[in-house]
Amino acid sequence: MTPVKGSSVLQKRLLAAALLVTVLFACGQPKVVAPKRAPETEIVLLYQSDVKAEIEECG
Amino acid sequence: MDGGGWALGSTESQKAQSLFISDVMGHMGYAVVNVAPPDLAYGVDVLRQSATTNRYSLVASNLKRKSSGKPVFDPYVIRDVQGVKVGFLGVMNENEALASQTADADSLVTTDPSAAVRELLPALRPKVDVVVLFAHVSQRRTQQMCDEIKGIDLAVSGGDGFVNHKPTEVGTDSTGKSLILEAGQQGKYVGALTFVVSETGKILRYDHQMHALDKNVQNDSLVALQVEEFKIKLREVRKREAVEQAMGTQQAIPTPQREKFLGAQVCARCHSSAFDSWKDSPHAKSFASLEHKQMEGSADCLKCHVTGFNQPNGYPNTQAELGSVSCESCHGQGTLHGGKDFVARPAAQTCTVCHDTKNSPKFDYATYWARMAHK
Repeated sequence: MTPVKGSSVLQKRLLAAALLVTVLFACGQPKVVAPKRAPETEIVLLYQSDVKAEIEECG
Repeated sequence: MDGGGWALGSTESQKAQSLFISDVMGHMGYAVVNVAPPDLAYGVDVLRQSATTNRYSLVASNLKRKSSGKPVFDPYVIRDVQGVKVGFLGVMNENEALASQTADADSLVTTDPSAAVRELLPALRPKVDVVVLFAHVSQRRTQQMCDEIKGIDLAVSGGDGFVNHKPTEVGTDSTGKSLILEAGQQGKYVGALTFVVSETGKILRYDHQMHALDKNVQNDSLVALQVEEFKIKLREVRKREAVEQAMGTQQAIPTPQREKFLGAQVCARCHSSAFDSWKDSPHAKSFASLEHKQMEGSADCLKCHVTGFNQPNGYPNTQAELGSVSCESCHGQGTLHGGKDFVARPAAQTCTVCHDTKNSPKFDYATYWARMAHK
């Protein structure tokens, strides 16, 4: 690594951090692999509508 | 999931019942619920709070704030079901019933349901495998939307009370198919759609069953217990309502009315055979039937189980014996006797005021009159 003329400790640290980020980016982040879905998935949907009703009927 | 329209109305007892229904929906694991005009009867905040407490998602694709044009609830909801992404849209008729049924009517507006779905589908469709549309509109309009807008897989229609024992298929394989579902009203049915989704999100096949929730279906023991506890609270609310309603009527009409209810005993002085027919009839026992079910405090029930409920000089604002459905319920107040407004021969319309489809679904004028006939 070529020393940067007149660089301070802070500048050197920033440069090192930037290089690390570059390397990580080049290598790629660990990938989250989505679990493969089954060829067929069965789903049950239960449905209603307008369920309003008096809780108790008059008589 | 629920297509909306679970709330009853704006009185205190109706509100208590509606929020109880919402609690039970939470207990039973409802995941996504559409918003329909009746559900806004107690205001947006009450509805939102009830949904949060009961852990279900509300969807309202065409309900917006009038001032900002922003959605009031989530315009669409996505749920992961066994790895399959299901997207939910929900619409109601534009501005229909909002004014009369909604506590926040002045600040809300509904847009055209079809336009709302057209606007939201391009954003929703790429994120999901299956799109479900709740359509609290007529079934005809639901079908029209599915015909015209591609990308709706399932539509749960509501609002007109139809029961689709078999889903209505709309569209073709090439243009995309939609299934239209509707499960009636008042919780009498629950629809069950079992469908198989491919890896690519295509619905390959389905099976559908409509279950009648009649006496053959065993009650959930915990819900049954909650209902019994709630009935006790409800009776107190109804008694309070009946008192308030009676006081309101008395205050609203400060001067005595000319016409008066007199009670069946007065009619019996001249019409003894008619009285004898009546006194053994179900009409004469109408209050007792309420007492049997501990519903004698319910204003909703009393209006059809006593004579002249909350009317001036009617039950309970008089000393006359009016605690049943007696002569003056059908013929008019006793003091009208002999005048042009006296109803000598009541027609079927007089009966159907109370014997309506909800309270008396088996009512048939000829059959019922035969049980009551008197001269």
